[in-house]
Amino acid sequence: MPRRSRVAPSDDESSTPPTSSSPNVMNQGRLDIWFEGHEDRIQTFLIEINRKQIILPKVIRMSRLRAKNFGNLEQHLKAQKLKTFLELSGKVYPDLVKVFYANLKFSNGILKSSVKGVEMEITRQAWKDVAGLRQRGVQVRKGETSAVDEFNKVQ
Amino acid sequence: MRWTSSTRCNNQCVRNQGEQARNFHVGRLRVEERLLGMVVTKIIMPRGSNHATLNEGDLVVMYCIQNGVMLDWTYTIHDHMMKAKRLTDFKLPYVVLISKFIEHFGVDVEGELEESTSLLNHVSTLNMHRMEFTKVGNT
Repeated sequence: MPRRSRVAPSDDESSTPPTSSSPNVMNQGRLDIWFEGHEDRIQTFLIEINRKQIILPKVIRMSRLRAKNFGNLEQHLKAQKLKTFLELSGKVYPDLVKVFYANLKFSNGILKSSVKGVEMEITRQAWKDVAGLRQRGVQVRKGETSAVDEFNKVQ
Repeated sequence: MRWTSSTRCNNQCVRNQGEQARNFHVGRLRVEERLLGMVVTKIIMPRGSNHATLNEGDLVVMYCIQNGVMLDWTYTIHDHMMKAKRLTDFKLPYVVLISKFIEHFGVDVEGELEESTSLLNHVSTLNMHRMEFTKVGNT
């Protein structure tokens, strides 16, 4: 009889908030704020994302290109509507960017993430407002280049 | 036979199979293409290292920019983001872009670790000068 009663607490264990379970260098309070207390997401963050380094951002100024006699290249980049994206600069939040990556998901053609409980759906409009990019044109990524016929002929 | 680096070995293997070499060194390019290559490997599809070797994806993107083939950049960028998240060796790209998204969606950034892009981050001012990238005439 006492053995059976010992089984019961295991149910209890799983329902208790596992606050003390992760001994780590990060401040638990901050993690809770970033992830709104989702323990599974915190674990993903600590295991997969936190140790990754961030690539130093680079910025290029279109006006400098023109001044240095690269007007041709500048026009090509402008024709691709990349001007705003290439010139993005300003404040950077390294920690929150890692949180963004930890929560990043891709479904139904939309990137989704959440930071500090704010749900972010990067829709067509958000791309346009922030980076000036439009969702149209040929879709190319690494390892999938068949969309550009002429390129394969050149090779 | 001994190889100095795995990359070189890989290249050699690809060539021996009777295919074209998939990787390309920027040294073979003209100044303007080289600068474009820098823009592609450092800003559009940034990776942690090896900016001097262009892979197939970089070359396609450069080809499209130069020949006016309109690309869906959101697709390229999101694919690169997902790859950076998935693969363990990848560093995290697009810090500035994501910080802008974070501000755009109104996340409270009070008291968070904060940095700012400085002149050091500008491709044009330092690197172009260092590499003596000045174009003379219309060649």
